[in-house]
Amino acid sequence: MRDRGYFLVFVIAVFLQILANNFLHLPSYLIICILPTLICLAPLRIRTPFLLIIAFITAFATDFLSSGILGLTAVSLLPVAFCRDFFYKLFIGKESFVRQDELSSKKHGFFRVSALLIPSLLIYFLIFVLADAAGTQPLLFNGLRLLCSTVSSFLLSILLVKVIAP
Amino acid sequence: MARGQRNYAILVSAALFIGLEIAAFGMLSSSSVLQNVWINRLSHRTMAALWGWEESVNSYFSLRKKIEVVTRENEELSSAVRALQKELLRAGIDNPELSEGFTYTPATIVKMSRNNRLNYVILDKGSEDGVEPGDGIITSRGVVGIVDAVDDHLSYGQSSMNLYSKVSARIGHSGMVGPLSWDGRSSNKAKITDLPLHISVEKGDTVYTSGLSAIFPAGIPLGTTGELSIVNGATNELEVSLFQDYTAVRYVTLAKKERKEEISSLEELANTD
Repeated sequence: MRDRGYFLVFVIAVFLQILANNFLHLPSYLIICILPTLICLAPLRIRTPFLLIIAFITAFATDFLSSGILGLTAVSLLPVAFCRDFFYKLFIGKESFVRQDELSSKKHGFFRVSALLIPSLLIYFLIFVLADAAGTQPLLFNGLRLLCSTVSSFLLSILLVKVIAP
Repeated sequence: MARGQRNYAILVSAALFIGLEIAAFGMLSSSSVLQNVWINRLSHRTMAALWGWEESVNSYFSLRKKIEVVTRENEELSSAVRALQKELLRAGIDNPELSEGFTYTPATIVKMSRNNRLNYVILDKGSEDGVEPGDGIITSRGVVGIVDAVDDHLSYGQSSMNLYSKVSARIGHSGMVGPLSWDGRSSNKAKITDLPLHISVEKGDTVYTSGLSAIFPAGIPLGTTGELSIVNGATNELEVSLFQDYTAVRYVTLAKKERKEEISSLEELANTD
């Protein structure tokens, strides 16, 4: 997918995320977030410093336009942007990274793309859940919340992969 | 991309990540009281861990200085104890640990050989510090050697791990006295020779300096007794496990017998007669 197409999907997905945050009332142990997936699927031409800025602005806008705590999404999303290149080299391959291949579930395989997404989602939700609980929730609740949120967001991310990186 | 450029890019990314993460934490902290308390607690814990780590590193690197200070304090305390013991003696109170008639100087080992049969030790105190040949080199755990020669600022001594070195030792506080010498093999074993055949010694008894020579004060614990064996059918030889670890010793005390010249001239007079 060309960069323009990616950015179009990106804007729509962020808009949908804001809508979901405001109007979708989910149980307290479930969080749906596709922002880490969007960051992971960003074209490799976007280098880490720019990706960090994009992640920060996106997270700030999401928190500002949602009823959430300002800064919570940014705190969780920045490590995902910072680790994106590392995870890409680790799970998709160094050669592919050097060639700046477009990520494709058909070309690179579904499992490799999943391997890229799952650690990113785990990092995001681990920080999000811990920062949101702020030491007031028991470990079991936090663990369950992390697991449910990662699984559900991963399932949703698969749909996004089909659109951005078919 | 060249390695230098790659490193530069990583540094820029890391710096930007840290900066944006701090900004995000700042926003989080100011937008919610709960998160503010949590972040404060986290930062306090991190700072405490960092300070603790820094303190550990600092204290590790200042250990040598601290040891020197403690050694000096120890020497001052020992002097005070000895002064008190003298007072006790004057007051007529018997004290077996008494080491009257000696002056003490703390010293540090500059060099010490351990792997020869005639081992030696060099100390950082010399004639300008009042050290003389014949002074005893001791620690709280035993006898290290005897000063043989002195320079202005250094002194050379015969180590106790030397086949010619002999220390007058007593088994228990009031037991049999005999010469203690190194066994020539291990660094923690010595033997008391020339003991009469009729004596019996309990295993594990403490061996002290006898104080009968003009080199070492009496009552310094040297080690514990081991096996007793007959030599040539004429005398007993007692194995002694030493307290002093010669591989780790660094700080010592020099013991100088007071009125040593008077004793020497008296001995010379007796020999000429």
